[in-house]
Amino acid sequence: MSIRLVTIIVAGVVLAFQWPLFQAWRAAAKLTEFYREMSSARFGNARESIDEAIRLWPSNARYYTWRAYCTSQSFLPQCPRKARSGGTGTFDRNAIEDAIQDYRRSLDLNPRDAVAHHNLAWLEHVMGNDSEAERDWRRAIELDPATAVFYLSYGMFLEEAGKLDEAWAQYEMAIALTPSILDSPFFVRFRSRSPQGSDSTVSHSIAALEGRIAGGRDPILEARLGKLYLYIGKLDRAAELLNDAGQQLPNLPLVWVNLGELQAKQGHLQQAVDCYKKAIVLDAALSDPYERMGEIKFQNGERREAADDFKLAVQRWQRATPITAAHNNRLYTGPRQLIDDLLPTTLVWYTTPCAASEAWQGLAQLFPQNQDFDRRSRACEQLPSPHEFRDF
Amino acid sequence: MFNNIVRVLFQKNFQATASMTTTAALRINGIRKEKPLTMDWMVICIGAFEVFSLFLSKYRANSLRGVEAVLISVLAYFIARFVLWKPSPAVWLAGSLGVAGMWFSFLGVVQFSGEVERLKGTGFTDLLAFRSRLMYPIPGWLPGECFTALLLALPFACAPPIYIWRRETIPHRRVYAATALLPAVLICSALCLSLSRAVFWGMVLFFVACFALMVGYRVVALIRGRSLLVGALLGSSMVLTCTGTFYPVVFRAYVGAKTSQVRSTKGRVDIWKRSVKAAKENPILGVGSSNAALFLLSTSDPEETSGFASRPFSLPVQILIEKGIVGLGIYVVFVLLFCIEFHRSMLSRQFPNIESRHLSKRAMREREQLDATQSAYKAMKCCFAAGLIAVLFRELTYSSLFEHTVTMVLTLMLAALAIARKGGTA
Repeated sequence: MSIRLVTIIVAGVVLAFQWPLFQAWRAAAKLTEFYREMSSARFGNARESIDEAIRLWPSNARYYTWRAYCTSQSFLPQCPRKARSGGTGTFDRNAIEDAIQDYRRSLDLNPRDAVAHHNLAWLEHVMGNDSEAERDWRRAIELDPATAVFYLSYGMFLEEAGKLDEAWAQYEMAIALTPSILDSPFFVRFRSRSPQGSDSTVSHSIAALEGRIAGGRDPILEARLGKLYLYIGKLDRAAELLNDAGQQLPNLPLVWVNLGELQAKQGHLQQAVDCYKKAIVLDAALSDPYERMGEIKFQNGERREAADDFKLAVQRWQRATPITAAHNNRLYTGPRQLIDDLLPTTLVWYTTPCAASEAWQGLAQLFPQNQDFDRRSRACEQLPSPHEFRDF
Repeated sequence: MFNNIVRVLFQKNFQATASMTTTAALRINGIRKEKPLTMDWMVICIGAFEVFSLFLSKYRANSLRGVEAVLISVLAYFIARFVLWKPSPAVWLAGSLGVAGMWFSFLGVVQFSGEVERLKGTGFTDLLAFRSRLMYPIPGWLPGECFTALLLALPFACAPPIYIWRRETIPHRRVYAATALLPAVLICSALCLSLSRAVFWGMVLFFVACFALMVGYRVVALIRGRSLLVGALLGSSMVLTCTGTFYPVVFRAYVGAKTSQVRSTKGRVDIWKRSVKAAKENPILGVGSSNAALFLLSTSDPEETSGFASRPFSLPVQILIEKGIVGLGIYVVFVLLFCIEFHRSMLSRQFPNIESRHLSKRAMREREQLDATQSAYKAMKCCFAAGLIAVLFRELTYSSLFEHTVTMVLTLMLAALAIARKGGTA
């Protein structure tokens, strides 16, 4: 057999392989269209795009998760007990079943999708299938043990069920992984409904991190611990840890946000602004530093600059995407994920630092004639909680 | 731009590319009767294995792109074997790729400079910690993969000057060769600014391997080869010094052990351990192309701070986890066969060897020209082989070859060009 013939055969085989690839490219184009429509909240068009993507590439698990996520946009971001007890007043149970089926189909094709397990767990919980929900939350944590939001969701589920110790253990894990949760609406409300529980969670997280740091210096652990000390007001220890972390790994944006807060608490406003600027250079998607710089500028009488910063803070907060989106872009091939993927739909905002209220308040003070700013100035406080908690 | 051209050529017009290969196969008479080399069969075997492994992949939809990249590369390999088996088309292709590499390097250097200014403007002084964000010459590419592409472009950029320099019959060849070095110099500058130890030492290894091969295969005499190597290394040092004058961080990047570098090394070792653990669960055929990160996710320890493992950070480990022992065996055989075929091609004569006493003066001149061309061609092949050595060295601590079609295509084209010879195994 001559090399010419071999090449002709290779070209033929590659050509034959083109058909599934061609379908995959068309499906990927539809997915990009789906992201665009979702970003613009045109859910009907988004649904059409993702349906077409599934038709073109039915073995792609991601497409089923997106269809389920699109369907779930019509659900309330809360899990009221009356819906779970059989009522259909606030939920379309058929739509939930459809979303559940899509997540299950997705998990049949790719059983290692932690986000799909997490979202499915929440939908199952809404439908009252708590044992299945618990199994799926545990599976999500098992598959991706380094993502804090899964611990939080599972913890909220346990807390709702009254299993407080277990819930607090999950919160501790989440806080030890991502201490910025302390500034989230979730933690603010946890603190208000259970001051003892929140204090115990923070102190346990500090003890756990102190224990791990004793084994050797680690700038990431120092940064996390520094944030916890900053939260409880031990500023000296926080400064020591955060400065060391910032010196060793200056590329961590949240270290600079926390150092900025520390400087501001110590009254060094210019140094605080410098820190916030560093954080923005490293991660322009952060909203906190803009809001805090806005506050400082507002205090200094720089009204126009303050207004710009407040507006940027609100914009960044509105476009918040969870860490899972960044992970998915590395885990899966295909178009870049541009949208949030977690259920319930407000979970991202509920579990990440919320600077929106202060930013809207700042804008309302700067532009008192604009009622809209004032109306939105309790954005963080009005964020719906995914679960109904009893007061303890 | 280059990425887009490749996409248009190989993805959007897939049929056209396949037809082009077939046409080339039908049209080119030079090697019509040649039998395939063992290496050619091995490349087909790799393509077949990738298609077969797609059906056993743990998550097939994720693997499709990886298989596509390998198939396009197999096609590119055969195009290179068909069209580029003579020196002049190989030089032209290498020159074009070298110029493309130069353009991306230029963009990279400009971007590096802009990012450095931005960071310095906000008060950051230790730039080493920001090395992963200082240069993104190709939009949408990860920096590591982009440096792999630049490292792969280096042998293409060096091949034309080496060829011109070794063609002793070309008048003023040294001037032309020195001029043709410009793309290589710019690519070296970008590689020096990568602040990645594996990329930098991969570049140094490229020069060492290139001249070692040239000396080993007697393309140049030992003394000349040694002085050339010293010259190349001095040239690289000059490039390093020049870039270091503007950005002193460059000097510390390749010898020091800053916190970020220590963490990077420790993180890699952790990920390798986790990869081996994941590979043990699917030892024979692996988890499928592009699925390594998905399977590494569940092995992460919340107590560890090495971060999210987006890749296994080692090509052999990646092949082991994604393609299993069978796949690793196939790729190891491929590398071994490449070494054998390269050795054979360096020993073979591209042009007929006729005894001098049977030749007229004119024929003697022609023969001298042929000898010069042959020597130049062999020197160029040493350059291509050295490029493969360098990139495989870099891939020991990074896993980017399979991530992008361009890196895979360039790798297999380098292999095809390095073993090019007339006659095959027939």
